[in-house]
Amino acid sequence: MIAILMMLLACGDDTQNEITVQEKPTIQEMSIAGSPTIIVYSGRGEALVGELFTQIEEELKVNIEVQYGSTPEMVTRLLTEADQSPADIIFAQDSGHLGALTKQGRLEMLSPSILDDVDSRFQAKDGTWIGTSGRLRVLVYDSKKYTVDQLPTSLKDLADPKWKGVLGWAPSNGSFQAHVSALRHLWGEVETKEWLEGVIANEPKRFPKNSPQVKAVNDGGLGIGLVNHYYLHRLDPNGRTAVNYSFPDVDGGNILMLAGVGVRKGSPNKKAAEQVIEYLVSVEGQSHFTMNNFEYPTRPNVPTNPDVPDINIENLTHVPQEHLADVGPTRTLLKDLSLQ
Amino acid sequence: MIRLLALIPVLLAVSPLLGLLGLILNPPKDPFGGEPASLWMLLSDGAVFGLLLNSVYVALTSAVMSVLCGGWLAWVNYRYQYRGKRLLFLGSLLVFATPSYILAGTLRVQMNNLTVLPDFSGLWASIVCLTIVCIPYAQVIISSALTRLSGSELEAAVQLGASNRDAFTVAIWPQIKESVQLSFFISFLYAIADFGAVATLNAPVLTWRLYESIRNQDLQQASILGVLSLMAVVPVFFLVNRYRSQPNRLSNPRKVKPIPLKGNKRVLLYCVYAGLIWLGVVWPTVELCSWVVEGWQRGLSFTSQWDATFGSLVCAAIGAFLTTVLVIAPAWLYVQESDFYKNSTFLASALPGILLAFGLMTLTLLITKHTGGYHLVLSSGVLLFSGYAMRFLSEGFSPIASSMRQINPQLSDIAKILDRYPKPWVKNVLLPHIAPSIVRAYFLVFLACIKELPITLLLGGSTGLKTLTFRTWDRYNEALWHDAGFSGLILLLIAFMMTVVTLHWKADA
Repeated sequence: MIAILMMLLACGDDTQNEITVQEKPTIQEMSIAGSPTIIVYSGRGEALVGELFTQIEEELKVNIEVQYGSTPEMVTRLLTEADQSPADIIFAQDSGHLGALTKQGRLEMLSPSILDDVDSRFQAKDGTWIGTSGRLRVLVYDSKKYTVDQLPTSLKDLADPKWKGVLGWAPSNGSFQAHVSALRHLWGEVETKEWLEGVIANEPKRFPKNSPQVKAVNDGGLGIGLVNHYYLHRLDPNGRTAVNYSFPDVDGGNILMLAGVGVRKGSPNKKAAEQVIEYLVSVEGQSHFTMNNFEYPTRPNVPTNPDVPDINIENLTHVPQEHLADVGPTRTLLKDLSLQ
Repeated sequence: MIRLLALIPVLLAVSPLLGLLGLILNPPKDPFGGEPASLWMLLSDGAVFGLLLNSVYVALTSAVMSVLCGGWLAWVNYRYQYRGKRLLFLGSLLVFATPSYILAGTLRVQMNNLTVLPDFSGLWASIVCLTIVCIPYAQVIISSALTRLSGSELEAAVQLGASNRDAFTVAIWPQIKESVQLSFFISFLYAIADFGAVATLNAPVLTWRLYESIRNQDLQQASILGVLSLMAVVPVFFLVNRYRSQPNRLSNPRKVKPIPLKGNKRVLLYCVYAGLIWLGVVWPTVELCSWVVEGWQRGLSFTSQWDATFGSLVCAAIGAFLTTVLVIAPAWLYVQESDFYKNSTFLASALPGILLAFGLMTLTLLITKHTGGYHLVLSSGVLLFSGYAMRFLSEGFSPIASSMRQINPQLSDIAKILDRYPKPWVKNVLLPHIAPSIVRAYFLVFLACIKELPITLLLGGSTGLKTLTFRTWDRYNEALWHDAGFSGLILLLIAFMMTVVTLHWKADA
């Protein structure tokens, strides 16, 4: 395993990796003394991270108690419990909630050695949380009905009456809210509202979440849907008619949504919790996200699943992470438009 | 002593309300910096009242329809003999095992495939789903009352020339009225607090808005909406209490001899059973099976469900045991003295599980702030099982209370004269009489607990137990249909076995 790690690290920038390898402990060396039980509040499902935590328990010789729920529920729980919370780590499905916890002063600063592992665009400015994997916002379309040439080049085009009655979306979904927060900062309040009104006028079919949209497109019941990329790859590749499409225009359609982790402020097991997080952003941890979950890594030079097309981060719309946490006005906007 | 025992569930039922009060008065900050909605803002928001009216409409309609249908099935099962009687009755009770969101999701997919029908969503679709889910409650509770009836009066009425309808009205209805009311009330509470079906079917009701508030970290608003939901239940409380009946109290009931069912009634019965079993059991099972088969054909790996099966059985067994035990004392005092015990034990059942869990958690936090040991309380499972008890007290209460009401009070008087009261009386009279109802109550609560999700997620995470409902929810969320189908099928299997065992036990009793 160490050899594989060394080889994978060697694929990147030589100088930097040499330093990293010399300074950082190996996975075996990371074993946590005293074996405290690390409590994780996970807004990410067991299907996505359960196996990974079992792997970490074995590798680091540490007990991890993962408590699952939806991200908003786990964050609400953390805030309600405040100082009495037993949680050491909060693992959120979207970075907006982590940013909000940062604003409330509920997260510890992470060690620079962890932050260095990940692209600086995929972590909090103040180092209180770190992105573990990314999901790309895409348009899923029915390849029996449309060719790539017929699809819009910009997210803005979805407000075109041409798409009336064929679009699906999930406006109460966390990713959608974070996406709208990003648009507010990229396009401004007025244009975002006008765009939402334009899409509403196209009578989009409303879904409670992304996965049924992808299924509906694949079953031929929906033309196009605004979703995260990875649900598509859970469908049977044989005879799959749904295809993901990333908007070529870099104007807000192709945003990478992050899942991430932070350590609760006041956690008595901060050091051990950080070692768990360090594993999550190690090559092994990142490989789990890419190979098993079809997500994009936040650590450079980790290969993606062969079924998932590579992306060039430079070609994506870049949104400072703090903007994704500005969900308060987004919710007001969505409520005003009866989308909540 | 009995009063003290009865006070425990009453206090338990009230405790989440105290927690919610704490949340209303001292809400946690909105992490996104949003302004919390004031009580006035909420009350002056016409949309909230629209949602409240929708909730009441859906709950009332579902409760009435499920009681009509379930009550009729229970009556036919009691009075008539027909081919496949036990099998059909058992099959219809399996609807219990289907989580409401799976039922709603499956029906939505299947109904929408029948293109002649309008889109299966919104209020009417929710009413259909909730009616299907609630029918078994009415069936079990009403048939529990019917099995303790004496057939003498009914047969005498028929022999004296009364029509079947008159015989039912005179001899049966007064005896089962109480059970009908209770099953109506339970169905109403279930429907008003349900979230799974209404969310899947996009029905604009109060629980939807309440969950939205929790998703938006606005626990204060969620609590206020929860209190509004409770207020909607109060008029129904009064209505049910006003028409409370006093059944004849029989000491040695003689079973009625079933008569053959013929003609149109038989056709209707088979149609109702077919519809119920098809929509509530076969379609969801076929859908779950298709998910599993598809996964198997694709060579996908299946998660081992041993831990979740074990966790489900442990959670449901302890939850049902605790709830059933807690219900006996207030049910007895309700029968003997006052509606207070029924009303208070039913109170918490009107709260959606997530709110009840947050209320309980908040109260515990307030207490442990001074005493410490929050995590210990949480990980011991005390909060989880208390949560189950609060949520499902009403479901255990109804069958037990209605059977207690049918005990002849003269028996206890005689026992007192003979100095055989209370212990020998309890052992030889009370327990044998209410034992089938205790089993039914246990069965009802067991199935309710095994399907429960929000309380299990919030209060059960620390216990380390994983359940099948959790697995189904987790995999369903991530579009891992094969695993969701696998755990859902095991859940159905357990429910099936529970139903068979309970019915077999009844036959022996």
